[in-house]
Amino acid sequence: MAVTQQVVVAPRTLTSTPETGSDVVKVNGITRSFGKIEAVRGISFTITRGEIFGLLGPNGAGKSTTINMIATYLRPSSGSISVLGLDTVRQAQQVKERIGVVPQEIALYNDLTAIENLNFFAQMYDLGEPMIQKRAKELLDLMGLYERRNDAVKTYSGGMKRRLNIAVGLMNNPDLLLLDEPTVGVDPQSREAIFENIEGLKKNGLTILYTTQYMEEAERLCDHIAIIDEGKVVAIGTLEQLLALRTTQVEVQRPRGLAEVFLQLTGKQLRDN
Amino acid sequence: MSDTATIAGKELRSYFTSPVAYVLTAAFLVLNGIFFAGQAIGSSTATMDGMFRTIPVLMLLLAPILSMRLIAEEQRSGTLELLLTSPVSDAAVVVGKYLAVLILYIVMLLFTLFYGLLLQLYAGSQGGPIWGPILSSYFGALLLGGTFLAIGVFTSSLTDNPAVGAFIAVAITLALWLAGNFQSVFQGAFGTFLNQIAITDRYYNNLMVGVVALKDVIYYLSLIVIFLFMAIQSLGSRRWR
Ligand SMILES: Nc1ncnc2c1ncn2[C@@H]1O[C@H](COP(=O)(O)OP(=O)(O)OP(=O)(O)O)[C@@H](O)[C@H]1O
Ligand SMILES: [Mg+2]
Repeated sequence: MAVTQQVVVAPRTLTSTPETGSDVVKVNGITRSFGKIEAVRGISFTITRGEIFGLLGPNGAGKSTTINMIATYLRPSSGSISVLGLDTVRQAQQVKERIGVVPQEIALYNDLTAIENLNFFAQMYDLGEPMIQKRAKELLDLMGLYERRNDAVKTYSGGMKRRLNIAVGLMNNPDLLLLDEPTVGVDPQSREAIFENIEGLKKNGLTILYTTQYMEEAERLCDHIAIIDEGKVVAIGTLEQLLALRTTQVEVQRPRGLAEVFLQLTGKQLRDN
Repeated sequence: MSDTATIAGKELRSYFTSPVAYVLTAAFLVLNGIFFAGQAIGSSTATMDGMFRTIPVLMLLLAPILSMRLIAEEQRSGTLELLLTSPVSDAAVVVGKYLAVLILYIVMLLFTLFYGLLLQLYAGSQGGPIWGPILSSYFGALLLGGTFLAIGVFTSSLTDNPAVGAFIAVAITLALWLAGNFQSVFQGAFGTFLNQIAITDRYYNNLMVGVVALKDVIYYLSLIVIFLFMAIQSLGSRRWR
């Protein structure tokens, strides 16, 4: 599939939000329990403007719980989060205006077409009809869905649904995009297209939080990576800093990159049981 | 406000593009028609009472079926997360959904005006139907059905399983319907209270016979507000549950 890199995110200037400086997200010691389950047990990190920040962790590590708290969808049990200088609990409404959310599970109306899905969600923001139409067209082009824009979503492949969900998350031209495992269940072509889109968005200055279980995705895309396991950050830094952990802490014959660091830090036992 | 309209519009569209709404409307009209005709022909009077007596029973089942998917389906499809992380308020989501199903119900009721028209046409020589009680009955059917639908919207917000939501809605509605029967079991204030909340009494005893009392209207509107308020709370509660 041909991927055209268009400017769909308005280029940002660093002075556009003077209240925040360069920190777009500040997570301060958040915890979250579901009944007796402690899904997140004290996570802190900072995401700076224009970077792709990766949350890397095995099943059940607490990635989605963390991203959902940043998205205002869940409240932290303790700790606090600020997005663009706004508190995600007390100023949730303003935070919502400025973020784009792509949930882990496909979240679309199957009976509606791509255009109808985009229009419906975009109408929740104060964009105005001409802007909605313009952005819908741009994003459908960008995601390679324009030809199929009038087909019901239920006729789409997994990869197409995924790309449409990302388009939905971009309709309001957000300052922060939250992507929760956006490559699960898509074929290699779609995955490559999604990577190139994300890289294009970053080039235009968008700040992105990206969760994944795949080391190679984090290696390719992310400027900073937090490896989390059992609700805690076990390592955080740039790719180089994390790779340095490997050479100092593990005896290795053959360098295998981030995968090795990941398994060393999170252990090898299965997580999904 | 425009968010509410957008949500109501989407919901109405999905009603009218699926066969379910047509099948249920047809069933509503046929069943009402049978009871209407039975009463009017059997008693040889120009009355729609047969139909208006039936509507609460039909709506006991129909209201949960019409409303069960409204919020449950958003949870199941994951789209609720997108709605709740967009600037739309929880209230706009709930009220938008409620308006959609209420409008569908009003359309169903409007179709039954045809039966009234039949009376006017064919019983005109004997004076025709008395429209006062018929109109107050319609008003009552709107209030009572509107209350049942608000209950359905609330229970739809409790679960991502539409059938479970519908089941709870029937249970709540029946409990309110039969509350008055337990008046004698609980003496005193609580017994009086049970009698006051009996959900169909005001419809059968007052509105259906042409008595439109403000306190009855306020009673139904209060129940609608209470159940929609609880639906809004239930949506909001998923942030900290
Ligand atoms: N709504 C919920 N109710 C109860 N437990 C939950 C809920 N959401 C998450 N959990 C639990 O919290 C823990 C962390 O879940 P979370 O979804 O955040 O992990 P994750 O890192 O996103 O995993 P995955 O890679 O499988 O998506 C898990 O043990 C999960 O079972
Ligand atoms: Mg997850």
